[in-house]
Amino acid sequence: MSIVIETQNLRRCYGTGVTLVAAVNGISVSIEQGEFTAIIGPSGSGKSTLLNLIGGLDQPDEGRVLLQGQDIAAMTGNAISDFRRDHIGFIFQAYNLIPVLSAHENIEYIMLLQGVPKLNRQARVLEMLGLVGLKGLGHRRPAELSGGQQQRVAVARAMASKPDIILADEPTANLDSKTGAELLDLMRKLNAEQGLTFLFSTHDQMIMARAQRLVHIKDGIIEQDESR
Amino acid sequence: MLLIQLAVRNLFRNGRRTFLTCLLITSSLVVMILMDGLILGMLGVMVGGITQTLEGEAQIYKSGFRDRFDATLYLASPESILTVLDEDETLLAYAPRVVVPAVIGSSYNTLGGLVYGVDPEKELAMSRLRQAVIEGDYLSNSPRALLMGRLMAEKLEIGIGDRVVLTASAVDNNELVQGLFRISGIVEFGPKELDESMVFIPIEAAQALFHLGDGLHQIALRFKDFKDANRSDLALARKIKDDGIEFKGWLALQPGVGAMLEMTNYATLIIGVVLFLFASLGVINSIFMSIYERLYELAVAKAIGTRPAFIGGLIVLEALALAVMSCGIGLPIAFCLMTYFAANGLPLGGTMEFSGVVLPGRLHPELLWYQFVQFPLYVILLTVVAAIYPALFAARIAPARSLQKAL
Amino acid sequence: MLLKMAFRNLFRQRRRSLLTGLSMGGGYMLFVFSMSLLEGSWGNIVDIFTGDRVGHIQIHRLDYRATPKSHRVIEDTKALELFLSEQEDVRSYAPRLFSAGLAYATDKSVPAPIIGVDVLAEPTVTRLRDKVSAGMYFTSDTDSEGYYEAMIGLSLARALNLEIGDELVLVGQAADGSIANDIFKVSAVVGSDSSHDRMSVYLPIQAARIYLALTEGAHQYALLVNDGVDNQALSRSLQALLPNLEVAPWQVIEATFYETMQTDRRSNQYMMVLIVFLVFIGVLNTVLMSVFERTREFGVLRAIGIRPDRLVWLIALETFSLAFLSCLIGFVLVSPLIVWFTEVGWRLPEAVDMGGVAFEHLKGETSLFVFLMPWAVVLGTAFFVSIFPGLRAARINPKDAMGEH
Repeated sequence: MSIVIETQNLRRCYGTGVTLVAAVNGISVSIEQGEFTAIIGPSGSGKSTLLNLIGGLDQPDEGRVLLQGQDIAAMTGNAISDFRRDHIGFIFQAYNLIPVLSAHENIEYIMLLQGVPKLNRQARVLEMLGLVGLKGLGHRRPAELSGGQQQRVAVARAMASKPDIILADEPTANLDSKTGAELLDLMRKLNAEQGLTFLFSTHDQMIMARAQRLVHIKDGIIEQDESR
Repeated sequence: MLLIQLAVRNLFRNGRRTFLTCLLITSSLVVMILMDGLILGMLGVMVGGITQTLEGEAQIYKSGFRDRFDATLYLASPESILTVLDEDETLLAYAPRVVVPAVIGSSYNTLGGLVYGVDPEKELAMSRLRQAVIEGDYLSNSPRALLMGRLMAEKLEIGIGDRVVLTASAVDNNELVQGLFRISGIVEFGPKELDESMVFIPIEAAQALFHLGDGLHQIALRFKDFKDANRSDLALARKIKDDGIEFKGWLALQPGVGAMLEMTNYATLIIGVVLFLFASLGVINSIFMSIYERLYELAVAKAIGTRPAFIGGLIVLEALALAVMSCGIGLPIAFCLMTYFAANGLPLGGTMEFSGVVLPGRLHPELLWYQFVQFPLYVILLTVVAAIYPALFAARIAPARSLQKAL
Repeated sequence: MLLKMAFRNLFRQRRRSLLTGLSMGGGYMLFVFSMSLLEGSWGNIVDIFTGDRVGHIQIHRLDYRATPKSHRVIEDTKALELFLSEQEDVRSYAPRLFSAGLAYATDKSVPAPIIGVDVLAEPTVTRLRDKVSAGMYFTSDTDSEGYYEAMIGLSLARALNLEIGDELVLVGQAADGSIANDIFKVSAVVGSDSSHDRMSVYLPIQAARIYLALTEGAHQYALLVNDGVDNQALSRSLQALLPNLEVAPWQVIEATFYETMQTDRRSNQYMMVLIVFLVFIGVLNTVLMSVFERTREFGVLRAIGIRPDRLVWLIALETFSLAFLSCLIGFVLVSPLIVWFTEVGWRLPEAVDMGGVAFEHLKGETSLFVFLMPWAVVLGTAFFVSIFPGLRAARINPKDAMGEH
């Protein structure tokens, strides 16, 4: 299986002088294609920071992040922006969507950025909506969708750009357990059927229960890396 | 296009803020147009008062004549000049005049003053001479008719129908000449300088009496657009100005008032700029608020791969859409206000007794096309410029920090 | 307690307070600058105009202005000057004598008005000394040949082809009816060809008296009043103290110019209305936006138990304090600018000419009005405007308020 993501000795510090803290303190980890992996740890362990670094949302003080062999830690400006657009999908805890666009348009948005021709876009949006079980609801704006439905649209958008990996930071934190479970089952299904790679940052038991691999983080270093 | 679609929809997200900012931009435009109209209207009132009394908006005369009204400095063959004037499109009217210092005598007294030889018909469109007649009749064809300033008539102790003797040096041989006239009317302009020192007779009589032939001392001009009078590049001026011939606009002829107007113009210009800086502050404030409100959303957009330039462009486009919308609202409002005030005038606190003739105590702002074309463009441009700094800020949002901060 | 909370709230949300404060403070500064400019231009214009010839107040013999005959002089000038020097509101005064005559030079002659001035006192009232464009401002001494000096207007110099150092002969009628006849040395040329005195001859007043065969006296005294003194009021009070003379302010002597100025000022009042309106909208815009943005925050406050009316006061107080503070800072920042503007002024792209003296600077005014009026408008607007969203915040359901994103 090919390696999608590889980090080499990542370090990221915050604060200055006395308050200097290494949120990520020398982490080297590899994620392979098709994984359904969760980075877990208590609050303040550095898991969100790690996810941000892997996703190119932040730059490390030391170390490299290789995605499909390219060092994204060194990219800036349009380069990293385009890279994220084409290779990484994101799902955040809440408010993922652009409020003034409908669900359909939100999913379409990423493809517009990529320059996908109109016919292809329409087809793919409908396909995505179907995959996440929201067929027929594409015209609704986020305000008209439930929390769970919004997260599903986020998943659809993340998939629509055909990324190498989907990063999800606490995707179920704002949902009740039933909805959360449904969302996670959907993601697991996509992972199994479509071969999409998922990397979570979470301390939700439900995610941990479904994950194939758990990377335990505490105080900025990997404590344990268990595969199930 | 996606960018435009997003921009327009974003405008209506926060209806209240959009409304308030729109209010600010619209008000700025309306104020800008009204101010300009006011200034022009005021200028028109003042210029009218000054120039239409007697001086005219511009004058053509022989070099040196105005220094001390030396009657020997006259335009000897004015036909060519008059032809040019007849053909000129920018002129509204002109009045040829003879002006000679003379001694004016009655049976009781003598005084020094100026004799104006005027064409009664041409003066109608040119000056307020006719309106200034407070007693008796305006000049007619009678060659011996004379109009006299009220204060002078009082000092000479004469009235309508009385005889007046004018004594001066003929312009060709310096010999003394005298002419007998009868007062047909008394005039009052208001300013002492005019009413105590002038008499008016028909121009042919003056030319004959002082041996001028067809000569003129002064041609007073009135333009269709009074601002033309002072333009340094006026074609008419260039055609006429010569080695011995002067063409001066009223600003140069009335230095005191000219100075005042120039100063207030500068002041108004500076204030205009200052006010728009102020409005821009409000607009920048508003745009920043709209960015802060969506910081998280913009961070997410950047995270999923939106380029910084796209975000920046979105902000600028929103500002542009807002400005265009505001102008769309502001222009009709300004138009209605301006047409109403242009027709009815603004009260000026009582009538103005200026130059003797009572001017209506109302100020009529002037409505011109450029106010409704150029000003909205300025406003739109200004709004877009105001949006640049916030746009750069938005484009440079670091996704990681903003995502963390908001939650 | 409320005030303390209000202040702390301001500093908590620094970014927003800063933006709002900047908008208000900036508005205040710009408003003050506009006021200074508007008010300053009138003061400017009056100074420029009155310093050319007329002064702030003029004194004549009762019958002089109606019929200006040579012998109608103010006789006891020493007493008058003593009186004027004791008036604390009178800054300076200068006597003048007027006549007319024929000016002769070599073979040409030209009628010329004659103005006798006190060589030392005149520059304290008008800009006569600054008008000298060639030669030297004259003295009251006679030269080696016993001739007095004279200064002549530009047009007269041209008409008679006179140069500095040439002789000028004046012939006319003295006050007692005899022939007046004297020779003078041209020491300077004054003004431009559009000045009121372009054809005039200035003589030292002693010389003018000799020429007019007057032992003493002056036709006119021109006065300048101290800054801040209302010249019209002073004129009235001086008139009451000098019942045998006519005391008149420049507004009466130069009524036409005054009328013109007043007319222009009236249009300025409409401008002020427009400016105040725009500032009002600007402050309203800023304050409303910032207060409405905080609806959620207010909801939280309501939820934890603040009484509705207290909340309204809190909001009003916060807004008012922010406005007060921003204006205060604005005042500190803008006052040096205003003082500079008043003293030195803004250089005009093209000088404005008044009687041969070029005015290159547009000056502002420093006064209480200039600083306080904008303050009142900004504060008043901020306070008043914050009441509405405050009321809304007070009435709204806490949970609805908090739900607003």
